[in-house]
Amino acid sequence: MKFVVVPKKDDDLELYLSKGIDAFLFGVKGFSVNYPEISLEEVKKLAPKYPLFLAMNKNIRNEELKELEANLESLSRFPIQGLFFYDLSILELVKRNKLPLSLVWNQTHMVTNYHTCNYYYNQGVSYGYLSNEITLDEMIEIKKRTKMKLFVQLFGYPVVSHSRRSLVTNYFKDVQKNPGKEIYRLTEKTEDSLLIKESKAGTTILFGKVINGTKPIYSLLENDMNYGILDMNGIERKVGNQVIDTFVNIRQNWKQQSLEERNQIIDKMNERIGDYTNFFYKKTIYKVKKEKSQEEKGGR
Amino acid sequence: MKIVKKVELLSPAGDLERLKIALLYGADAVYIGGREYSLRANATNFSMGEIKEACDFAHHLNKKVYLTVNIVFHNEDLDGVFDYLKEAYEAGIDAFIVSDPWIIQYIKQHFPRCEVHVSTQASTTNKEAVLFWKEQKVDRVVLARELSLDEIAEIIRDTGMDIEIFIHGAMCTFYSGRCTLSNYLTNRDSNRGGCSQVCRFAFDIDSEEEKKFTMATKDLNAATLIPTMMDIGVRSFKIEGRMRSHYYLATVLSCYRKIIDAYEKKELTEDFLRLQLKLLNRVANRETSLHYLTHEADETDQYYTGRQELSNQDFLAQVIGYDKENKRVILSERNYFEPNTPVEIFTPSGKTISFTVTQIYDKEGNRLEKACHPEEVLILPLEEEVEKDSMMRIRIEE
Repeated sequence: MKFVVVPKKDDDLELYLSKGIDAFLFGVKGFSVNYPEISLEEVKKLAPKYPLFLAMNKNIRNEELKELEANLESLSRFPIQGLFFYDLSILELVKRNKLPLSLVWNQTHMVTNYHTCNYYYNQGVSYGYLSNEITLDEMIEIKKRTKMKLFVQLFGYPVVSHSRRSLVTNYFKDVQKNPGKEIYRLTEKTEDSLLIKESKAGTTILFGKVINGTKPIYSLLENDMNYGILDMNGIERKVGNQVIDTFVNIRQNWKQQSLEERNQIIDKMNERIGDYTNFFYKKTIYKVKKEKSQEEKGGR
Repeated sequence: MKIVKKVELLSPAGDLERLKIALLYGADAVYIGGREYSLRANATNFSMGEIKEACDFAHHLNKKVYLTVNIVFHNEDLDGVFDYLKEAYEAGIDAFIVSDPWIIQYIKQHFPRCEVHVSTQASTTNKEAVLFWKEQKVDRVVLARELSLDEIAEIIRDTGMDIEIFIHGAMCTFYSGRCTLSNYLTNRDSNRGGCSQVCRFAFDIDSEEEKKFTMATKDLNAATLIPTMMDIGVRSFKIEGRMRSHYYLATVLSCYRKIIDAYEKKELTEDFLRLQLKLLNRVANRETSLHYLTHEADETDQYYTGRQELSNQDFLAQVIGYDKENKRVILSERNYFEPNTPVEIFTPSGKTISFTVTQIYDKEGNRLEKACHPEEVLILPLEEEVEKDSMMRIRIEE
């Protein structure tokens, strides 16, 4: 498994490489959401030096298509590893213009089954970034039944939703104040919380806990999962480095580690970053059984 | 010669009764969910037998039925889907509405009579993405609800695709398909029909503000834009809300049917449009807006200023029969009314009959002072014959 870090804008990429990170993922300025963005000029400088994946994962509008097409043309001339995309205009333009770009299907919550992976693979898409909302077993089954190379998020705040609306600005306009922070935390009745932030492309909501992929990575390694994504955004640098060291160590030594050693590593990581494993071991439901009435339950 | 297709009014239908109301009140087609693979997993939905009955009913009226198969599939959902599609096809479905693209090829290959419509769940927002779908042999694209009229016009002009637009009903706060709030806060899979509408919750925010943070949006009402949308070539006008009431469906469809027909006949006047808007506003339970169709959505399109959900009391009764011999209408009561109440009955064929209630009788012939028991059978004298399934409401003046 290769590790791809989503760095913070001013992170030391050399340090990451020295720790064993294989590639980096940035957003392309003006065309991405929830990734730190870099301009084409910066891509030009960074691409020859570092293994780079780039993301153009926003919903595209007609008026942006010309610029998008020009950007794709430019990107195809840089030595980048692959381009994460959400909007199908990107697939359409890359195919039509026969651009030598490796594409990563990154429709955030829709990469959920092997049939659709195979569909996009047959359209020329080599990679897929699996949705965070499927289980580990589902990921492994997809891996077994597609030729697509797959990414899984192992660390970082998971993306929950994205809107074109400026939800934070709108709220503060209503209370007649200016937003004072970049990210706000929303809480409801449960202990779970959400993080909300705005950009020019709209509003993104993240879940309030970081994914800890230490336990599932063992199964993913056993099943030859191709890439693990480690998202450093919103994470203290020291913690991020510890996470990287742990994952790199697991990758090197997992075959020799006893169950006890593995559990110790998992426990240690749980202490550091929490034990939230997202949907790796939790299946979502969608058909809700109706509550039985008291009579049906045998009560009054 | 280019064939100009007639514009379509497309209605939701949560069950057979609603489907019949929708088609009788002017829908050209209805979209329904089966018991599987639909984004309203917890609605009543249609059994295969009911799908067959729905198709027979619609086809008899020369109208169409579309089946939503628009979940985002997980591996476990794949078993049985092909048998399900085949059964639905044999039941007479005219089109499948899908969001997961692998299914398109299968439908096109095996069920050539059927159309494939790409759901708004795919959030198609530009003409190149529409061209992608066109190459996949898709027959129609339901565009994302985040587009302006200009963008829609450009897409139609430059792609030549059949385009369907949402014109009325509730809106998602987030791009369709790009929201898993339900998954994270209630463990219900929004992209497989389990959406628990977390976007309508009120949250505490970590700022000094005492006011709760909400992100719910107003509903959409695009009645005033129908002429423009017809001019730019929108093929299908879609109404949201598979679980809305009979009265809601009848009112909304009746209004849009009249607007479309009047514009086609070049008879649409401002007064007529104003009346239809008034009727639509009265049946709405939330405030409405035009959202992205006319402007970049902002704080005025949301419920930050305090949310009002109104309960409509206009609907008084549904017509269940007419006694020609004694010139009496037979009703099923819905809301309170009494003698001297000014009312009107609007019919599936578009007529509106205004009168004042004089006497009310129960089915045994006893005279009543008031009607106050929902679903009670009532009888009122009425000279003019009215069709079954007509709706009686409080008279709404222009």
